[in-house]
Amino acid sequence: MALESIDLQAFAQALSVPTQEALEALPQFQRQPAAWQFAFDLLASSNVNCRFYGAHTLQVKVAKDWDTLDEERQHALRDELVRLVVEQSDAPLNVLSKINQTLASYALHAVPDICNNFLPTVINEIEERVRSSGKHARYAGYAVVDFLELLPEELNRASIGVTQHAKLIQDIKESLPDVLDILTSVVRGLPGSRTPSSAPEFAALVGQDPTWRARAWKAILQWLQFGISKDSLFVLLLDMSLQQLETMAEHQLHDSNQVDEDELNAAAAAVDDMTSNIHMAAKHTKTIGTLMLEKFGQPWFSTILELSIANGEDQRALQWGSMLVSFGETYTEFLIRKLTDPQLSEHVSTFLKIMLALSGFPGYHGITEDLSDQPLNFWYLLQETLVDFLYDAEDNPELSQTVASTQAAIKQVYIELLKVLVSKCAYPPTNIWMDADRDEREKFISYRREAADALLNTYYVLREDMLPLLIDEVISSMGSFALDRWQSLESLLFALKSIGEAVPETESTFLPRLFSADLLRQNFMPMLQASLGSDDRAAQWGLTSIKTSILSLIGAYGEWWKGHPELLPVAVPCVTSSLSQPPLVQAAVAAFRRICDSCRDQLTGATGSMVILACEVLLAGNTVPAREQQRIFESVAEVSMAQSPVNQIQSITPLILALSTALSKSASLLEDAPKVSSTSDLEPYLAPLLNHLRLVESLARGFQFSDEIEETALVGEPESKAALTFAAQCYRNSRELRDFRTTLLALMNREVSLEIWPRDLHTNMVQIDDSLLECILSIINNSAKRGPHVFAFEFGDIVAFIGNAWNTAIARVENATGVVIFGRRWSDQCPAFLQCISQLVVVFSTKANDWQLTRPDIAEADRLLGVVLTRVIDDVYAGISREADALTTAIEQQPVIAEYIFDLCTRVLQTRYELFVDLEPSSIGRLCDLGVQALSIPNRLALKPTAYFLTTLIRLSSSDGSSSGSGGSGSGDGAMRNSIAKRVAASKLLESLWHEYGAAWLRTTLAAIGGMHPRSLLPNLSELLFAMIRHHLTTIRQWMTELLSQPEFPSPFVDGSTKRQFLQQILATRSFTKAKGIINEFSIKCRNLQDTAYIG
Amino acid sequence: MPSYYKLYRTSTLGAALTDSLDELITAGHITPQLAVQVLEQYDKSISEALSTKVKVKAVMKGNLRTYRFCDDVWTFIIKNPLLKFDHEITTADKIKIVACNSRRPGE
Repeated sequence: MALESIDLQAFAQALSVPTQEALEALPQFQRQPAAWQFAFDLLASSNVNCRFYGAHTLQVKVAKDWDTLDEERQHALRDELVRLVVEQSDAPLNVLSKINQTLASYALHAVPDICNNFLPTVINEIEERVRSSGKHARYAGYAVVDFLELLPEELNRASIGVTQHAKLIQDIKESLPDVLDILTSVVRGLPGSRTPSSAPEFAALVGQDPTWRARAWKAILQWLQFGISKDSLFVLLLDMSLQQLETMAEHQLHDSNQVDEDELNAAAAAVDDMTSNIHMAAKHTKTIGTLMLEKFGQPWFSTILELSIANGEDQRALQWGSMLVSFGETYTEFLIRKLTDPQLSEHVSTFLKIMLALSGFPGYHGITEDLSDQPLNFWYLLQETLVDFLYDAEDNPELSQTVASTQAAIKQVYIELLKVLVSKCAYPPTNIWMDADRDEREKFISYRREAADALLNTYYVLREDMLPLLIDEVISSMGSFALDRWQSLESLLFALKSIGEAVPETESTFLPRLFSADLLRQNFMPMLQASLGSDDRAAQWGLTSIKTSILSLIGAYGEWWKGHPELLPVAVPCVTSSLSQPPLVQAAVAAFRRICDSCRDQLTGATGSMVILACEVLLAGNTVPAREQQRIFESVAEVSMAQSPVNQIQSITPLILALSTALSKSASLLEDAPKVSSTSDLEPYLAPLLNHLRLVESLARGFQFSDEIEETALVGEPESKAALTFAAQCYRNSRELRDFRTTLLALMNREVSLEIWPRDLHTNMVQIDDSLLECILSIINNSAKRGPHVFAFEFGDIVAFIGNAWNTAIARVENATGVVIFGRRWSDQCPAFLQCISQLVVVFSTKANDWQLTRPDIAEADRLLGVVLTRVIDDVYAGISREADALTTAIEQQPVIAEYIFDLCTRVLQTRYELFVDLEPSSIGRLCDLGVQALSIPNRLALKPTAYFLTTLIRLSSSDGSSSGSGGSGSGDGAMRNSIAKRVAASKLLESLWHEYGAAWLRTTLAAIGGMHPRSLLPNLSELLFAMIRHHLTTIRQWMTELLSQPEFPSPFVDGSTKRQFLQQILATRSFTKAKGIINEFSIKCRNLQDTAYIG
Repeated sequence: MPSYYKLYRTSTLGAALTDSLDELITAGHITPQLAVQVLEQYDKSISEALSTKVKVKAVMKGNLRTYRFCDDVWTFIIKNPLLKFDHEITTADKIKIVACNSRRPGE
């Protein structure tokens, strides 16, 4: 439809249908000036559709083209709109609402400058005009309630200036008492309520209709958000609302159809909002709290709630219950303080009983009901408030009586809550569980987690009173256990498990009854070993659940076992004997780990049997899943660390030998594997070796000395130093360990050459994924530590291995014809290599300690690391360059490699920057070049580590920045002299790098700040620029002056004076915070974003 | 539109949105006013989404090193926190928790 030649009559005709074409053309037409008049013409039509689109058009014009109206027209428009509202008050609701929306849009622009005291004026006018037009008064009510519901919504959606918004809200808030007067008059139209005599006639008439009462409630909720400044009005409103709810409840109890669900929902939401108003709660705790308690304590409330609960009507119970929960959560302190108040205690008690009833709502949460989780947070808040209350009352002897009676009363409540929670945590009968869908089951499980938190809160209130309640029940249930009633025992075990972390290890009254050696042997163990003769699915589920709960319970009390080591010889076998049952493996391993973590010292004597267990797990192969095997191995290794090195070696030797044999076998299996064409075909040959190497990795993780002993040894504590040195010697001299290390190293070297990068690459390259290499490098990482390690390899051997692996990979990539594919594979492996080398730098380039027997002297270590780093930098540069013709494009394609290489180099600078002297100058040049290129692309992954590397380098490149972060001093004067000489040479080298590349780094940084890069990268760039200024002020002043004098650099949007101002400010500041502000401001100017609301 | 907290603008998502808006303004595709509206809508949507859509719970333990309450904002710095999610446990050297009132005063 061409707008220039549009036939308005035909267009109106088309809108009366409306046709698709007309609807598509309407938005475009609404932008035309002619749409103003057209809107009024449409509104005069007798066709409802035309009137609706007329109102729509007028609303769009008022909202978007307000500024095209002159002042006189703006004033006159209000009158016209009120006239239209009255005219359409008997029209279908969509037309009335649309014209009311137009009036609301008008208010957003016109109030208060053009029209103040807007709401009372408009409402009066509507009422009078309806009366004078001869229409029935209820039409005024429809128009007013509809408008009052729409206006706050429009205010929320409006995008108007802050000042106009504030003025508008002020004007509106002043009318709030009048607005609420009208709306409450409407809601009091409910039969059985009393409409005030002062209420406008239209309100009383509209209030007879439940639909309009519901809308009035919704409007009240909307208006509440603006805050009622007059407190007495708030209390009156709340009181009125509660009275209305009481009337609604009466109707519901008598099955009257006078109240519809929508009305009740809306009223409940409004009361909910008022009860959770924390500002009013803080100011009028007593008034509002008392009012609410008195209402909630009346029979009508408990009756309707009890009826809903008894009938299992969770939606209805939710309607009433949510108000209660909101009140409870907001007024917890009030509740605690009034628990023993003679006047209110009964009400508080009733309230808490209702909360308990809601918590124990019949059914299974998530499956047959959705209500019982609502009050859980209340119980947490109540417990926290009780703690505060007791703390406050601690020093006040006058309150001791009150405190005691409050505590006693609260304990009774929480004892009831415990019973409720235990019953709610019980799994449903098999048929209900099997019929439940996945979402429902997850909801139930999730509920149990939340209930477990509430159980913990219950424990904090009841403490030692809670344990006998649960333990007696558990013992009794175990004694009379029947599989068809397993749920109740499981729930008790779950409750006991939930509080495990809070029960002190010193508890020796109740837990020993449950965890006595006799009970463990006679009840727990047989139950864990029980099996069913049949395949009855329900019975299997029950038995497995009980067994899993027992294992979780044993694991949860890890800290408690620590205080009762005499029971460990019985408890641990309960756990380990379950490893042979596949459904229990995960729970058994988790429990095993918890016990090992907590009772490392107590289990020292049991290392031998734990090693036997690990050997059995190893021999059993797939019976225990690989991940769980690794967890067991790590725990066994950790426990072995509590022994003396001699004993440790003796106890772990059988495991090391078994693992060595297994490794050889699995390696042979892979090496002898037939040629296969896919990864899945290779899996059976690869998986055993990978699993066995991962077991080595797990042991390597577990064989770590504690940070504490390493730290004390590093600061020279003689006992720690002696312990570490002795351990290192034992590990080095042990023939078994030496043999294992040799075997392992040879195997790793062989696998790299034969399997990971085999010579006949074309046929085999798809067969091995990177997990094997990553696992091998992880073993190196975990065994190359500053402290002694069972698997510590000689530094030269590690370097040779890394060199071999790296060279093999590079050689294969370079020789292969399918360079792209092999290059990609190398790039995937590269980060793992770089991370490993980074670890070597940290361990072997810092100060040598007595216990580091596997490292060479500092000069040799530097030389070897220098060779490795040079090679790596060169190959990475070549590898990235291979990706694309332009280096920047290549970095964009391989940002992860740039990230890792700069991370590695930063680590070198931070750990021992003297190593840069051992690098080839050409390699350093490549690195610096790579830095410039990585800095020039807006790739976050590459830019952040690059900027950090350059910042670190620049800090070290000035004469005052190179005195820290370096170890490596040897002994004797000669070594000291060499060390100092090397440090001086390194400083000079870094300074020369600044002079050679600094200008390029600066140029790129300024260009990036000037708009080449997104603003979110400014923090990194600011840090870099500030480091340059801080450490090289003289050169930077000269370079920046030259660069910024170039036209349109760094941006065409900044002129010479802006750049000069930036230069002066940035060079003058010594504060990084100020510098960031200056750079940010300059960057905004460079992007031409200044002076806009967007930045403001 | 009532104002929402702007603290999510520095998140990865917010920073990416700001970068994109910068680009669109610089290229003349949108006005700064529209960008303001987009950011305000983002403030609203992210606040609502985080409070209503996220159901994941985490349990955290650690050493509370510093805490302060200033201008209605709580700040907690936790050393060596251990965060337990439903199926994952993670650690960090330290974390900062910034907590604001879910309903701003006067609203």
